[in-house]
Amino acid sequence: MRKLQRRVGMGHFRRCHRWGILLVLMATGLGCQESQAPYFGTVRPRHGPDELWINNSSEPEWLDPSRCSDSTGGEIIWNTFEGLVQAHPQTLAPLPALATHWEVSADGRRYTFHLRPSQWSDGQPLTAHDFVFAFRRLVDPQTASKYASNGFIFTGGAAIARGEAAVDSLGVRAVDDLTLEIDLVDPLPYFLNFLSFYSFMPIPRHLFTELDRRGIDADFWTRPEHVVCNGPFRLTEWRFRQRMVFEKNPCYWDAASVSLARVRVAMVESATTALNMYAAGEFDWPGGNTSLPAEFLDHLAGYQDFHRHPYLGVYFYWINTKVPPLDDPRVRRALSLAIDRDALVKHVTRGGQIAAAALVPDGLAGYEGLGLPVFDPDAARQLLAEAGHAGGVGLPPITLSFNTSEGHRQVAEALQAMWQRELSIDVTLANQEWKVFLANAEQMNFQLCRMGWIGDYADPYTFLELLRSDCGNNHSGWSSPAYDRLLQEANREADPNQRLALLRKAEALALADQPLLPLYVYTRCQLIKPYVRGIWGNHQDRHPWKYISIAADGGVGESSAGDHAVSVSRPSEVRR
Amino acid sequence: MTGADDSLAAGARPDDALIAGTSLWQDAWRRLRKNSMAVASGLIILLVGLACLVGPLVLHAVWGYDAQTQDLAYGPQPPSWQHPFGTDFYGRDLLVRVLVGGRVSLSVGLLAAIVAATIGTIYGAVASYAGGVVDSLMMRTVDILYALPYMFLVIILVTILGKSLLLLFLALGAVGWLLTARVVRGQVMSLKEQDFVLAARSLGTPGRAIVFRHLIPNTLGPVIVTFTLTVPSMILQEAFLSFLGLGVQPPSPSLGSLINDGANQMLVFWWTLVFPGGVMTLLLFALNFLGDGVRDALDPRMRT
Amino acid sequence: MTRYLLGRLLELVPTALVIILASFALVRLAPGSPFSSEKEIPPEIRRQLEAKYGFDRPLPEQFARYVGNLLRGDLGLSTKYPQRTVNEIIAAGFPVTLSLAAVALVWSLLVGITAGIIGAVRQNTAWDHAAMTTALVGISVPSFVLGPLLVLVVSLRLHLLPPAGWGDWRHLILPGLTLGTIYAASIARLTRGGMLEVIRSDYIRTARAKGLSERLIIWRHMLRGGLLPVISYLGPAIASMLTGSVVVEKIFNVPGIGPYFVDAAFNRDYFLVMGIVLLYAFFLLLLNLVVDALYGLLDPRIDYS
Repeated sequence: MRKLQRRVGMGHFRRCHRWGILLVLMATGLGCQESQAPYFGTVRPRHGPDELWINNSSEPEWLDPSRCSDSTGGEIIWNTFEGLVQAHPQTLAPLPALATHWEVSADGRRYTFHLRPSQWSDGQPLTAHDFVFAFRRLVDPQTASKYASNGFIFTGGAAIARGEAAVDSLGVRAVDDLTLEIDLVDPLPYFLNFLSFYSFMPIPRHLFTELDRRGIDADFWTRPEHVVCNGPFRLTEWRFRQRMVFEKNPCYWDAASVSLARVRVAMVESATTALNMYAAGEFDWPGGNTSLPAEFLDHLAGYQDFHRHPYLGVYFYWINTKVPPLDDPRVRRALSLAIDRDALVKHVTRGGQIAAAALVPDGLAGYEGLGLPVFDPDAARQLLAEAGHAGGVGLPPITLSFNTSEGHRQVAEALQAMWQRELSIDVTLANQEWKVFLANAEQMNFQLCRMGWIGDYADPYTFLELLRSDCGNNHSGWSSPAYDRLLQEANREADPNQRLALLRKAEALALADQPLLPLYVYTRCQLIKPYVRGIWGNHQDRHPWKYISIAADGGVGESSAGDHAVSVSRPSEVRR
Repeated sequence: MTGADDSLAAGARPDDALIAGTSLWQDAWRRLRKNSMAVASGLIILLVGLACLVGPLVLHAVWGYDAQTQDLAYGPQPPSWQHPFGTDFYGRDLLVRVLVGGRVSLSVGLLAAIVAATIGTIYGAVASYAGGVVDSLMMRTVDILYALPYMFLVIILVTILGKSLLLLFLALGAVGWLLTARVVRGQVMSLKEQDFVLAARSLGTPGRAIVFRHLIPNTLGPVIVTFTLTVPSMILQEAFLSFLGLGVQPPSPSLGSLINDGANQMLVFWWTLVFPGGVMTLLLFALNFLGDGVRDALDPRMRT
Repeated sequence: MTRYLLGRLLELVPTALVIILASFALVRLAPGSPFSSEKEIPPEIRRQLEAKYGFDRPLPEQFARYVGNLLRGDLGLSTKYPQRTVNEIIAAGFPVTLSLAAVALVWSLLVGITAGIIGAVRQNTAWDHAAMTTALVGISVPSFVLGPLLVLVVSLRLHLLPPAGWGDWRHLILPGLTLGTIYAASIARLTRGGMLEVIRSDYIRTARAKGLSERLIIWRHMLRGGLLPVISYLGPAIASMLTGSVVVEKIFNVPGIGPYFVDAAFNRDYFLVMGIVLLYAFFLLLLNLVVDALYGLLDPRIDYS
């Protein structure tokens, strides 16, 4: 007795919806809402033309590039520091930043970077030694960085982090003050792309001697009273969990292209609250770390300040392949085929996500996806019957765990219902809070567990690495020597096309065994006030404040369709 | 002498209770019935309780709605004749979910209040009857627990023990018994020097029998008053925890988690907040009113 | 009186010890570790992290060290916010929670006492019934229903006040009202009840017989009687305002101490959880003490000797 037949047309939905708003207005006795407004909320900036008010969702853990491992800190580091290269704000291709040019050796393992003369925010000169200091610090076990593994691409990095080699054995050398030489373990084709990541920023060596002299804990070096940086903005005020204020850094080498004088960053965790504040004009842009509540996406998509773009992340469930009944690949594949991913992205996540049954997004850096079916209930039932559990009979109980969050819960509840409907399998939901959830995932104390993986760089390897036997993030218990060998071969392969083919072979091998359940490729949905310029959609969701400006005329008058703010560009100002 | 405990204590004067025990209760019942608002509240509670109990069954039998089956394509719809409370994000009928949630809230409230009343009564009676060092030690413990940030304790308990309905009852009940313990102790302190207790003791009645046969029955009035006021506060606490995502887990609804969903969605789907919030308010209102009525009825000093 | 207070203060010591031990045990019993994260941490680096916070030591030693630091007023380091000390975090959040509670308190006293007086002076009139029914409704609307409704109407429809955030006085009003309303309702009922009790007492009868004006009787005698139950209620009320602010702070994204606590418990931020529990316990103990002392000063019938 389900009510599936009563699919209601969109027009009807909108009508009902308007009626709903009307009722609420009557209930509250206020009839002043205009439902046809082109923009969501106010469109007048509440501040001067050289200011930007955004949200960064939560208090960052570290603002120290060597130690930061979360996107809230990353957002700040990217705008207060600048590395050897930077990502193009539209295409993410590596652009010269502190390095003006570079040479690569024939085997692709040695890079020589030539730095431009530049200064730290306290006027001290910035040299190649600051990079050596930073990269050594990244892998030094004393630093205890959660992202030390990013430094394992340099020769000696992994051994240093394990405490087996001296820190100065790292394959990064300052040839002179403005020349930096880097040795890589493998000829990574994505190296330059990866190098713009926040772990690879220079660090003001001289500040540490200074703090040490004054007897101040060096861990506090990024606090506003001490911090020295080299990026477009400088942290000037940091009130715990209230706000951070950044001001333009006059010592930045490219200060002339920075339009904003001040950026005010709030830390609002609730997506709904952030949305309310955006509507009230408290934010010009909720920021890259704030996601819009899925419930509202259909509604918000009608406004002109709504923008959508693909995002380099995959949402999936780990399967514990060691515990019955999921130790049977047929059961695992049945679960995968019984998921109506199109319905999931259309009605639950609603953000225009791309339904995907594979781990690597189709088309990533020229990679040709596997093209696996995203929904095939008949095949699923058949596989389950082959495994001896036709109609879910005799299947031990299955629990699906996810960490407490509105969005994850919505997906989990939908999966639960789909498996019940297609396979008559009862799945229990276990909602766990983050730390317990992670501990359980690490100890493989689960059957199905929710995971999202955001690529650190645009290359299939950032996803495929997850299934390597020795990868600490592989929580499936699945391991295959053949798979590991293929990945290794791919990393040694100099020809890019050959390499992609090897990676594709590896992915096909893994997914035939289904150690995980990919669901969809992320998209990012954003609200950006029409007067904000210089934010472009890109698949890593990087939006440097450097390029952002506030339109003096409020920006409303212009004809602006779908991705207006994203397409209006200032390409001439992006230095190549 | 004045104070909250004593006004409660005055409710069951032992001489009345002993000589004409029934008449006190009849008296109270008569007074309660005369209080029209309390009667109305009682009826509302009965009605809501009944609706929560059988409503979901009826709705399922007649229209095939249930609290968990989703219809994603249908999605959230505003109230209509088909769905008087509208539907939620997953296309589930909100009326059914509110009723099932009300069922959870009412049973959590009742059970936790029963747990609290039982622990509190026994603890309070034993402490005061034992007297001396035992009493002061036991009451110091209550004072210490009283000083602990109550809700914080429950949050820690829930994060340690995990989220399950049973544990929620226990956690709420286990921290909620303190008030009852204090009330009962105050009551027994004044009872224990009364003639009938002295008489029982001189007859050689063992201590346990005196506590359970003579003292506890005579504290029933104040305990009932505390109980009726504990139920809404337990319901509120459960909703509070569920609102923070620590209470009842999906897909089971509870009023608290429904209100949390509603608060997140009110901007567009106002009905998801208004109906669960309205039912919760109505329920608490009626329970508070009834609790007031019961207190007035059992407290002779309020007689006018 | 002084002796009584001193005695009470001395009693705080064992209480505090028990609370410290209990919260230490509770926090450490919880599964999970402060250093779990979705990216794998090499064991060597995890050891470094644990050594930094002293988690590699046996538990009794950790406890002794904690108490030792506590005596010096040092609450330790936060594991979630490594660039902050727990003292600093509390110093940032607690004033916010306190100012929110202060607004709620002023609001609830103002509205509550006024409504209570109206109810008592005009007992059994329409005024009385209206005030008391409103009070009951107020008690019955949970903050997590009232808060979102206020945001919807006042901020998003009428654009009068900001929907969330922290900074100036405009941010205080909605959360303060949301937090205070339930207490305003209780205070109204208590004031009315207390005043009515006094009306029937002998000394009011004496005062009337002496020919004192009705206004003087209300203000001097009845109100004093009416406020006694309110004062004894204030202790638990302020306490529950402080803890109840968790939800209000969440709804309005107020950077008070409440949301830290929930997050800290989730993140297994050991020292932060304990720091906050201890802060609250200390505050509540002190509050009870102050209320008892105040009660003694106002009610001459209570003797502490």
